[in-house]
Amino acid sequence: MQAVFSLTKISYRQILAIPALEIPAGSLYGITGKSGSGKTTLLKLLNNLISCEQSGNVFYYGQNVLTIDPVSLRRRVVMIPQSPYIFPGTVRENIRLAFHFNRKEVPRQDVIDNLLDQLDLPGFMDKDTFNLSGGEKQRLALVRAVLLDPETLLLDEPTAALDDENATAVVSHLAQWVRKPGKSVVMITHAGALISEYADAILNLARGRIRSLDERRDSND
Amino acid sequence: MTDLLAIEPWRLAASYLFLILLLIMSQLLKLRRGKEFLVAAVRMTLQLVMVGYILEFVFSQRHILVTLTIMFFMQSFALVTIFSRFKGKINPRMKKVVALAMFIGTSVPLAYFMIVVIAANPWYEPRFFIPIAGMTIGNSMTGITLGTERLAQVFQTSRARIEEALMLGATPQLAVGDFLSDTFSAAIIPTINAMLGMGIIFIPGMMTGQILAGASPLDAIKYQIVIMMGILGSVALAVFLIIQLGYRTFFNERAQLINNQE
Repeated sequence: MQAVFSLTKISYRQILAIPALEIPAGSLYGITGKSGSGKTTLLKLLNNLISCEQSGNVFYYGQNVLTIDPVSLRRRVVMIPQSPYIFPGTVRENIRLAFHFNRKEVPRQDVIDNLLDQLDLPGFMDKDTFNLSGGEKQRLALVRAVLLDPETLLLDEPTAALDDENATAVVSHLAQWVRKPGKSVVMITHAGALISEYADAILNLARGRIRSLDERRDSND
Repeated sequence: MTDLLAIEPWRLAASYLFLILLLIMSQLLKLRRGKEFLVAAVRMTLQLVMVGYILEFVFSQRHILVTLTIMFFMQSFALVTIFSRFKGKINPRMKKVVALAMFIGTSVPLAYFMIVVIAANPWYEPRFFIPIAGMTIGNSMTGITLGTERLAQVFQTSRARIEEALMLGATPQLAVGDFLSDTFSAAIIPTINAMLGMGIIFIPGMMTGQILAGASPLDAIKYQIVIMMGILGSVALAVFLIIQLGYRTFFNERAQLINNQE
């Protein structure tokens, strides 16, 4: 099975130490662990927001990320942080700005409306983001990223500010999205029951080290 | 042009009456800052006497190396002043950008100004070159300081916004786009304000000096206009270099945000 990310001998400051790890392509890959276990650092390494200073390599579809142009890599691998920054203005302006940064054409309005509906943000297009709740902002960040249609999504606790119903809607949407050809999702989460239901594999980190890896099903099934 | 109104030594001494008045007021108000005022007045006097003799010497030399050395000294002193303000707050790469902006941003417009606008003969004629260099370097120092301060502030307060843009696939330039134009505007505002108020809110010092020295006001304004344009060009070029080269120092070669002091 092809790996979307392969990590070898990762050592990042005193935060992360992973001898080897392969994240299968086409999977919804969950990462769990207590605060300070290195989850966010791992995600930032995958997004090339930080690089290993001491040792180790990160490969994306077999290519060392150090040999890939960092900006073009981030256009293929989009990350949503735990507290995503929502730009001042309307939802429409936020979406337009994301496409401006990613250097892509904004999709048709019906595509956008459809996704807004699916993530429980119906008719939000011209709403001022100043008035959005924490959960709405988190879902808007997901809308922005999914619309960009990257190969891979890296999500840092995308359900943290959501109620159970919306959290289920978001994770099930991601589970569907990842079944499209060439898509992968790596997601940090504390929603144990939800991730158990939908994830193809769950990595548990403790103090920057792999504690357990539960490969639940072959993502190509 | 009329003759220069010479100030006789006793009249020069008489001007110190104002200092005595200040010292009396300070005493009456129990400010306990008389010594400080006295030191300021003595320092001003000694510094001006010193610079007067130095300029007398320099003007008599008319040598390119002497003129350029003085310009280099002024630029270096301005740089030391800027660096002392940002001690520990800007990274070594940013320091290099500040130095480049100071040297290129002031030297290029100054050369154009002396050769094309003033058409001094020779172009390095110290009597023109040094006062004009002083004005452009002083104003550029303010522009560079404001630009650097604002840029450092942007990366401190808007880090989340810039990082979000990077995560969405922005190049560093796209990620900081609007901030650069805001920084440029903020840093050249003092120069633009000076132009707006000139002649109405205040009569600039250089023009006042020329009129007092006997020049016709119509000649004095011509000098003032070209010098303001020279200052504008120098400040704009220096600030442009600060923002265009400076923002890059907050990213590494992997287009990752770095800490300010790294």
